[in-house]
Amino acid sequence: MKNKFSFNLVLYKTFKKGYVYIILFLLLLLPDAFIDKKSILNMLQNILTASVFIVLCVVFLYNFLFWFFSSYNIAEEGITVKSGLFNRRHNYLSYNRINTLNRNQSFIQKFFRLEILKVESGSVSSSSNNSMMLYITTRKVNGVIKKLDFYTDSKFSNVNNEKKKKLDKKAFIYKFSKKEKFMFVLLNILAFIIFELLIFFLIPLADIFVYISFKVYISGLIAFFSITLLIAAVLFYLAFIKYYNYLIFKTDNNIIIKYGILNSVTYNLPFDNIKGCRVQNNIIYRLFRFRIVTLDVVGYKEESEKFKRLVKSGIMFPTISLIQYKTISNELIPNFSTLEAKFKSKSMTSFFSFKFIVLLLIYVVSSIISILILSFNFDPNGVTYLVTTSYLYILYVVISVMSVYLLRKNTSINIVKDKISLSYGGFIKNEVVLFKNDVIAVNKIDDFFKKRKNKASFKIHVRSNYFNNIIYIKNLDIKVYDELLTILK
Amino acid sequence: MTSISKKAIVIQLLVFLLFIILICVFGIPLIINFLPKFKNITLIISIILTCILSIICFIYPFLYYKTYKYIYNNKDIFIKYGIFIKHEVTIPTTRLQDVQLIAGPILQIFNLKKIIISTAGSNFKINYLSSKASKELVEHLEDLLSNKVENKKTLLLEKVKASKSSKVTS
Repeated sequence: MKNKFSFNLVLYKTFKKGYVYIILFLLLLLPDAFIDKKSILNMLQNILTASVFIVLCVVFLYNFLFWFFSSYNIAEEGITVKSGLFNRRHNYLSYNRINTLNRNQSFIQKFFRLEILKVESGSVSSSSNNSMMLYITTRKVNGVIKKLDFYTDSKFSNVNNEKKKKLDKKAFIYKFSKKEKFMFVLLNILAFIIFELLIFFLIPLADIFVYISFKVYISGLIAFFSITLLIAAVLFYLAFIKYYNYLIFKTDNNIIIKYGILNSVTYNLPFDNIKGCRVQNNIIYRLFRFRIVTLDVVGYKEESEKFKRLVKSGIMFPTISLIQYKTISNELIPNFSTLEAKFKSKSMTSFFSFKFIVLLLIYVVSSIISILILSFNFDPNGVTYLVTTSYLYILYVVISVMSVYLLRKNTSINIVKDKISLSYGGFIKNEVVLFKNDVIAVNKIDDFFKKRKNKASFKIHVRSNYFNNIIYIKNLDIKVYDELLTILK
Repeated sequence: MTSISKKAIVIQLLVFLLFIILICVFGIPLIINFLPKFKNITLIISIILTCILSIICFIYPFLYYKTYKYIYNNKDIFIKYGIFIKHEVTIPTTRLQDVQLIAGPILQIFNLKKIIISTAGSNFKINYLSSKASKELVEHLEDLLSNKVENKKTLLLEKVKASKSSKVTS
């Protein structure tokens, strides 16, 4: 039996696509005392009002037809969704391929009593759709989940129970606390502040005021700090509005992640669908012993509607202290605890890029030439120029050496029975734990210098539900390649 | 190890030739007009640079052809490429999802094909394959895929039967 989407979808889509026209139309309807009723201006205003109204009607009609020609059907074998007006889409997904069900309701959707039920298959292939969206009312969502639950042997019973608030609110395993929220804002902004301080308080050392006035310097300083404030505002929004009441529950088969005030989101993640875990920490996070943890689960991702390709893996702990993570991860994701490094990179020189060596050579040669010229023909401006460029080069060299040191320190791999634990990255360290079965292919990259030192870099292609599914680890022993090949066999 | 079609050298040489002609006809006069004061020096430098570029463009297709190799069997597909930085890719056939055969206008003129091998994680491509070689590879992969699908079907059917029988007994 065919079912229709909620009619509120027409109103919601008309509002979403045509809110600019609605505002313009209302503004044009306001009586203007300065315009003579018989003048050409008045006539033009009337024409504009009429055209905006026609555009609104067209948008409404399009959305109405979209709704009229769209339907979904929950049959015995699978779920079918037909949608589209000009490009007709007929999507079919059998029940055994459904991996997750996600309920999503934005702030505007709440007004229209509309909810999106996302049925995810977890495919990332371009040839097949990885999710189906059902635009239905909250009441109907519960009914649809019940039906899907019936056909999939109670796989998704928790999705309904959770929404009905049957889950004990005090039984959460993890809560994104206020302290952690402040740390989330502070630790993310600290890197920018340090960078700005470094640039603006060390610049006078390079005697840059020969080229720019003090006023320009101050306005640059204000501009940079305004950007920092803006970023801080965004971070505050993320911590206190987007991740409002961020709770993680654990049931027999699933992890339930729930958050949001404007956009209330509920993710229901079956344990079997967890593919990997990524622990990320930049140098400042490491200093304060905090971590960001993301989970790679089929059907759990953050994506924007406009940029479909910018899909990120789902966040699990936005900011968590190391001690708390160790205790909680043992309870929530015991299979994904990081292992000790077995193969570590020993050489530091092989991490230096070709670009770095070329730039260093250019700097050394040009400095020698400049010093020679200045010793024969002294010019104070020339000296200032040399000091300024030297300052920037030294800064670049220091940052590069630090980055390379951290890269060498962080790069490692360990392969055990059924898992691989990888660690990589310089200033931003990543620790990833994956199942061996999810490794798709291995790409070995080497050159003349690496071959001489018996080293190679590896790109490990991983089955994952988002597009950044290649892990690139540099300069490891060539023995690792054989171990990686044994995984594939 | 199997090499790609030798026509790849011809195609790349033609593309590079077109590129060099464009530089000579439009690029060099434009730079000379932009710096009229240093006309002679600019002309000499741009001629030297164009010559170096032409030599690289002439050698590159031959090296590309010599280094691009692939081999496949029932277990995995192995692709090797790269002139200075060597790449070696191993894709197990068990991880295959779909195979695409693509031929753009230039490849069609030379009766060549490009194969894109999709897995659940990434896509891998083999360029400049002759139609015979591409047909053989695709047929081989299709056989493997159909075997994989049939195996999965039988496994699923067995699972369904087992669950039904357990329900009946309970």
